[in-house]
Parts: sequence; structure tokens; C-alpha cells
Amino acid sequence: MTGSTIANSPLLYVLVGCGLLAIIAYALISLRKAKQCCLEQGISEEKIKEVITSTISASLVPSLAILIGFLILAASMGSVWPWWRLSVIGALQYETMAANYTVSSMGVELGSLLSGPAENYTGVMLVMTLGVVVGPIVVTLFAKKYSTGLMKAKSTSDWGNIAITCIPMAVVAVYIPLLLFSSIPHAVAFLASLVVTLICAMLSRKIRAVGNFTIGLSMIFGIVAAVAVEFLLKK
Amino acid sequence: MAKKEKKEVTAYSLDPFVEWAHRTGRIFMICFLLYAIAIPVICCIVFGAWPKPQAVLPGLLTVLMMLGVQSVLEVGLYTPILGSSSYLTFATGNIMNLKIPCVMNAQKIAGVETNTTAGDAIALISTCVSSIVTIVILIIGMFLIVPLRPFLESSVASSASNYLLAALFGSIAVGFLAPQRGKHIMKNKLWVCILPFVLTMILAISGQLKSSMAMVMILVAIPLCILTGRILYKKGVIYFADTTKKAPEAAQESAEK
Repeated sequence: MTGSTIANSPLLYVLVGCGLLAIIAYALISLRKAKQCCLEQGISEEKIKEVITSTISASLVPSLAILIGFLILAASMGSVWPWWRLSVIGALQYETMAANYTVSSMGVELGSLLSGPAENYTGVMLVMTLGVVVGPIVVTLFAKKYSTGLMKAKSTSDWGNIAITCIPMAVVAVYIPLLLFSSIPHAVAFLASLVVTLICAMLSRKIRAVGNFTIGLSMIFGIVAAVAVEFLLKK
Repeated sequence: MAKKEKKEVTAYSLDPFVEWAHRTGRIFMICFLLYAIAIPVICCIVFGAWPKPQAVLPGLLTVLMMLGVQSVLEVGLYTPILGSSSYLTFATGNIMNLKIPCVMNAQKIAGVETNTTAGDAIALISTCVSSIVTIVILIIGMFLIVPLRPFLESSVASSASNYLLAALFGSIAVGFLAPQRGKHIMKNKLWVCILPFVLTMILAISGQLKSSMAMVMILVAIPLCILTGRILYKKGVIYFADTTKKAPEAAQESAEK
């Protein structure tokens, strides 16, 4: 029996399909509950729709990048397992790294997983799964205490509020210069996206619907501009 | 009696939604983890293909060592932004390249703050939608794998994915730089970013800091931001203002609080 037998088995399709359906079900239930809460908190139905549309538009382009990762992994692992891994937990860098470390400890090549013994394939499946359990375990154990502790600190004093606001600000303060100054195409992607966002913001005053697609549009323009500049620099 | 009274005064009651989101999130996470582990185990049992422990353990230990610390740091860094949506986010992955930008953008659009009930609810909406979009795109990709392959494997698509994060942050930056809206706002909050921004800029220009080291830099940036915030708050530069009142009056009120 080879890795391909497991990779293309109906059993794996069923297991992955059921898992994904369960995640979608949980996401839909949470979405409904969160929407109710927003309405109770005074956020209008229109604003919620704007948030949803904007999130869809912001998720489309990164999801296409994940699709590229899926194709890369599918070449060596079949399509079902990468489909599961990249729909949950996974990020391409991690998945490829985990698969590579396992096959090298087995003394085989990643490209031979499908044609090699089935044990190699299940070995990689196990490592890719068990290698990322730390994050979810830590979240399950500590996220509630941590998050509600921050909520409490924020609601009780102005200083607590400022200190907590510093965390997302720190993320932005690091990523903006890091992306802006790492290379010319990166800077072009950043600036083109910023300019398109500003244009969309102005346009949305007259055409409201434009606002919902701001991130999606600005990302597409930013990426196209960066690829064009990269192409020109290579020439 | 006195002790009981004190407890009542300091007790912080969670909003029922936040309580629900954490409770169901934890149950979901436990079920998800068990199911995720069960998939390879079921395959091993059904196909009788158990790998040799000595072949798997070195790879597993290497991955755990490399990613264990990173995972703990990610929880510490991103939970304050994600709140009760942390569970779904950590289950569906792609945190920095998808979920965090989506949540930050959604909270900006809705005009809500992190670590509030409304902020938590908006973060959860954004995470749910974004997770569903990714799953749906991958399902479509599964069916269109043959016609899509030439495009997605092209060099253009490959280099385009390198600029994803830069383009995302370009758009998000506008929201952070724009004037805040609302009645109760934090004035001059951008000043807390100045030190980590300049430090990262110098390190990035000198080539000593790569994108892969962003998390280490964020760990340095958080205490720097908090320290700057503390000093500026004490000096009255950063304060909370009721936009219906005049600035000096609001600053004084904030300092008194």
C-alpha cells in the first residue's frame, strides 16, 4: 500500500468534509450570536453588513494566496490532506516545514510521499497535526482569563485602556516600517494600496458601496503595482 | 461580611455574549483538537499504517521546539486584539496574513474598540466570515484545480503572494492614521508608536531586520509603546476626550480619572 491509497481514499474525503462542515456550522452559529450582540450594543444592521462585505473583500485575495499554497502541497501530498490543513490551523510556511522535517527524519523525499509506503504518509500527517497543538491548547486554557482580564482593566481605568490599546498599535508600528522599507516593490505595494484606499474613502462619500470593497480593491492594485515594479527592476 | 461586600464591589460581571463566546469557544476548541488528531489516527488504524515512532519523533520534536514558543507568543500577542474570537482564529489559522488585518479593519469600520463587548462581537463576525471565505475558496479550488493550476503556478502569481501583507497593511494604515470618530476618544494615541516605528525603520533600512523576525520585534515594541504611553499619559499628552467638550477641559478630566 502506498501513500496515494490514503491520500485519495474516500475515508479521508469523508473525515475532512465532516470536519470542515463542523467548523462552518460553528462559525455560522457564532456569526448569528455575534450579530445579535452587535444589535444589542447599538451597532446598526447596515454597519454589520458593511463589516461583513468588507471582510469578504479583504479575505478574497489572501485566500487566493492560500490556494497557491494548496497547489504546492497538493503536488506532493494529494489534494485532500492539504485541503484540510490549509482550511484549518495551517499556514503554508508551517505546513511545508513540518512535512519537510518529517520526511528528512525518515530519510525520504517529500516528492516520494504519494508513491512511497503508506507509513511515511501517515507519519507526516501525524507530525503536521501534533506539531501545532501548542497554540490551540494555550488558547483553550488561558484565552478567557487573559481576554476578560484585559476587558476589566480597560473598563476600570483610562491608563488600563491606553496600555491595552498599545498592543495593536505595536503590531502596526512594527509591520508598517518593516514592509515599507524591506524592498522597493514592497514599498510600492504598501503605498499604492494606501493611495487606492484614500481614493475609495473619498469615492464612498458619493457611492456608498465602494467603501465595502476598499480593502479588496486596494490590495489588488497594490499587488499589481508591486509585481509591475518588480518586473521593471528585473529588466 | 466586610470581605463579602468588598468582593461585590470588585466583581466584574462579563457580558452574557462574551461569557457565551468563551464557553462555546473552549468546547469547540477541545472538540476540534480531538477531531484533528483523530483524522491521522483513524487513517493509521483503518489502513494499518502506523509509522515507526523513531521515524516520526525527531521531526515532531523539531517542529514542536520551533513552533511551540512561537505559538505561545502568538496567543499572548493576538488575544488582546481577537478577544473571544481567538478560538476560531487559532483553529482556522492564517492569523497574521488574514485574520488580524480583517479584525482590525472590521473594528475600524464599526467604530468599536478591542477588549469591549462590541469589539469582541465585531471581531467574531469578521473571523467567522473570513474563515468561511477561505474554506469556500479552497473548496472551489479543489474542483477547479486542473484549470486553475497553470495560473496559480505561474511566476506572476508566486511573486504576487509576496506582496500580500504589504498591500494589506497599506490599506489598514489609513484607518490608523485617520482622525478617530466617536464621542469618547483617545487623543494623540499615535505618539505611542513613535519609538518602535523609528527603531524598526532603522533596523529594516540597515537590513538587520527581516519580515520573518516581525514577532520578535513586536515583543520589543509592546513594552516600548506601553512605556511611551505611560509617560505621555502622565504628562497629559495622551488623554481621553469627550468630543463634545473642549480639549483642556477633557484632558483635566481624564487625568483626574
